[in-house]
Amino acid sequence: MLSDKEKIAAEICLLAEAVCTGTITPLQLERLNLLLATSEEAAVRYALYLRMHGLLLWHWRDKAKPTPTSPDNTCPSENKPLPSSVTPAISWELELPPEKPRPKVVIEPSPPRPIPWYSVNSPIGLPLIAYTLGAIIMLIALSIGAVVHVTHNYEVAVSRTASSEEESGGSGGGRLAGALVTAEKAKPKKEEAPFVGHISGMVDCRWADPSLKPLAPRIRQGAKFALASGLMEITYKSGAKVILQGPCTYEVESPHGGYLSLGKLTARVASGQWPAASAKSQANHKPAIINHKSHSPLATSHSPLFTVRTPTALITDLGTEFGVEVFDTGESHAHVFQGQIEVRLAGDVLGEESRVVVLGANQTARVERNKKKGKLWMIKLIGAADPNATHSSKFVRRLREPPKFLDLLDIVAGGDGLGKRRERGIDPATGMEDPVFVASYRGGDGQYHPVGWSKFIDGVFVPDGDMGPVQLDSAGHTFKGFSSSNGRAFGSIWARAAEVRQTEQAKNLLYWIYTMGPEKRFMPEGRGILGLHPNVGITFDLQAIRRVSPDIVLSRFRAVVGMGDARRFGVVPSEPESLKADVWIFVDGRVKWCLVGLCPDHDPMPVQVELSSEDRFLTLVSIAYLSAGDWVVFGDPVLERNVNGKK
Amino acid sequence: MASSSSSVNELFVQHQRDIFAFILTLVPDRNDAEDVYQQTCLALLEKQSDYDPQREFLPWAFGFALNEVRRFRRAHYRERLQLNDEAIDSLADVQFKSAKRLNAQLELLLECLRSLSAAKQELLMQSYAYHGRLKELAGILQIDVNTLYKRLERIRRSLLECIERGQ
Repeated sequence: MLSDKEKIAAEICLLAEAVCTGTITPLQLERLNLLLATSEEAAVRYALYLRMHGLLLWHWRDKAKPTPTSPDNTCPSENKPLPSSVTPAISWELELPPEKPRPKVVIEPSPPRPIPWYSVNSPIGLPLIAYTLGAIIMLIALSIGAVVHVTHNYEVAVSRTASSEEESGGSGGGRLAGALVTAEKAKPKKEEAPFVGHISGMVDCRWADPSLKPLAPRIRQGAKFALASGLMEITYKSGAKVILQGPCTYEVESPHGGYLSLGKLTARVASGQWPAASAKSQANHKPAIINHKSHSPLATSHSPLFTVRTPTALITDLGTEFGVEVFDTGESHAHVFQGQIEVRLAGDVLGEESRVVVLGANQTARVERNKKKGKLWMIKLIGAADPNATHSSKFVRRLREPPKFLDLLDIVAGGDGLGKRRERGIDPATGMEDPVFVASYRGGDGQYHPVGWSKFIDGVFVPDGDMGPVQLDSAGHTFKGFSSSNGRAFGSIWARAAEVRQTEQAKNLLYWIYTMGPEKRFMPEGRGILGLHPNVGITFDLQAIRRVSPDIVLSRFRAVVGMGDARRFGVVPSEPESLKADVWIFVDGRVKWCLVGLCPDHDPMPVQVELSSEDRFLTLVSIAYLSAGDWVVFGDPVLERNVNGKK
Repeated sequence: MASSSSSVNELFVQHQRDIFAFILTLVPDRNDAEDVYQQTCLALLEKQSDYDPQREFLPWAFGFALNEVRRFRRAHYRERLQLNDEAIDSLADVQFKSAKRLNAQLELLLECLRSLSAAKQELLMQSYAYHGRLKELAGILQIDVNTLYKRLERIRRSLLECIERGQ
């Protein structure tokens, strides 16, 4: 029997837990208020619980960010470690003990229990249930049979539907075909179609037919999508990518193509993906209209080349990027962005001789149906000279254009360079995160300090030329040309927002990064300021950035270097050498830019450092003999990016 | 330019987690607590010259935090679920009165954490990494979110009992 005290202690735990998980209800809060106000012991226990929660939260927030991959099917038990995909980066001073070998669990059979007569395990119950169910199903089937009349057209129509989707779309047979397609769907499938790709991106998708809404990212052969609006990107296992642009109806017919019955798509096949086939095809095909009788337009699954079928044409990739549009009349347009494609009339459908045309970059083919004769014919258009040409701007070629810059301020503030984080920094003496600007001296120990909490920052250091070669990055590059310094840094390496409030704090010279005010001359693009009060060095890991976005090429580092004028705020230099600093930029330990004796009188200097794909570390350093009032800043610091190596 | 006297800064860096944890006892929502924490930091740094090194730092800092909590409560009284004035006063009072005892108990936290099984430690870490998104975590672990809540409750309660009994 619990005493009142124990009951309250238990209740407080429950209420505290509800606070921790953010699930506390107003009623529970009322009860918590009452307990805390009336019982000192309850208050102590609650305070201890929440302080403990706060300490854990402080240390582990943002530490482990698992990527939800394919989940383990087994449910983790109390003593089972989490799947490796959610294994966190161990931090704090805590080290996980090695997992003890688990004892084997022996399951002993429980004693037999009497089985009731109606149970499926009973010799009477199972046949009884089976007969009852059978009778019910038979009754339902007979009722349906009495209402629905099925004719022999079933077989014919199924064959027609399978052979030509275009025909099944007709007004007369459409309804029957639709019903039969449903019947086909209802038939139990003996074997499930293989997976041929996955959905690699979706933007604002709305579905014309909700029953065709994808329920899983992986796509089986035969999957059909009907987009009312939005964009959806499919990546085939072969690497080919298709962007569907709603409204659009597309069926994944094979591992190497699909059927576009309406709307627009862009297909991109990496060059050299099927080098042998592509090279051969390109060698054999000349950019002219040629006869091609041997190829069946429906045989997309047999071709190693990526093929898009439409009601009136068959477009085969020859190593390229192209767009296809199908109108509700069946008319098809194919436009080439890069490389070559082969466009073939769907002539076999009408029993007419096929014709083939090979298109190069910026060329368009239009396949139309002659209204009088019902025949298909093709017009080849070159460039934009023809006003009817399919313009490339009609097609979406990238699901999301990657940003042109990686923002180094965002990275310093804990982001990945794609966001706009600001107002955070780093302790240059330890590499620890500074959640607030710490306005004090930080003594350097001559060591290079890796920054563990950011994968894009390699490390930081406090440079001093008197201490011998200074390590610049974790690869061990050193530099011994720095001048002497007092071996101390002041404040944080700080990512300041462009706009700052003029608070009381900003009036204090210790908070120089705020005291200096807007200083728009250092940030013409209004991104913000990276404060590097001497003596500090920070190294960014370019390789880590490339690992996260492999299709991105970092082309150059760009910033505006300058020194804020502390004299405007009453700082009087004690010696002529005060208010002077040296600024260095290194790439993999090699000097790329430097300015010795930067002072407030210098105009802000735009700096660009070209980067190659081999470069791994970018290091920014500011150093001064007398570190006082040297408000060194890098304004608008960014890494410029090119996508897929294009410059 | 920079003053050599940086004791408040150093003490602040040393105790910032305690200040945050103190605020969290008074402001149930984590995001609100972070806002209050930021304001407290600014207030502390603005008033650093008032600090008497002969006094203990934490109670002095907690005083600022309490003021900021009250200010926050006044500003957001109608918007959020919050503890009432009596509860906040009582909580602050016991933390000032029993500071030594509480601090001594919390020093055992790491030790108690180590005594948990690896799986429990990992689950706890993940729950903090996913703080505010426990449903998402439950989805990844393929367990019901209520099961996750129960497991976390058991883990935290065992930690509490561990630090209460002094291991």
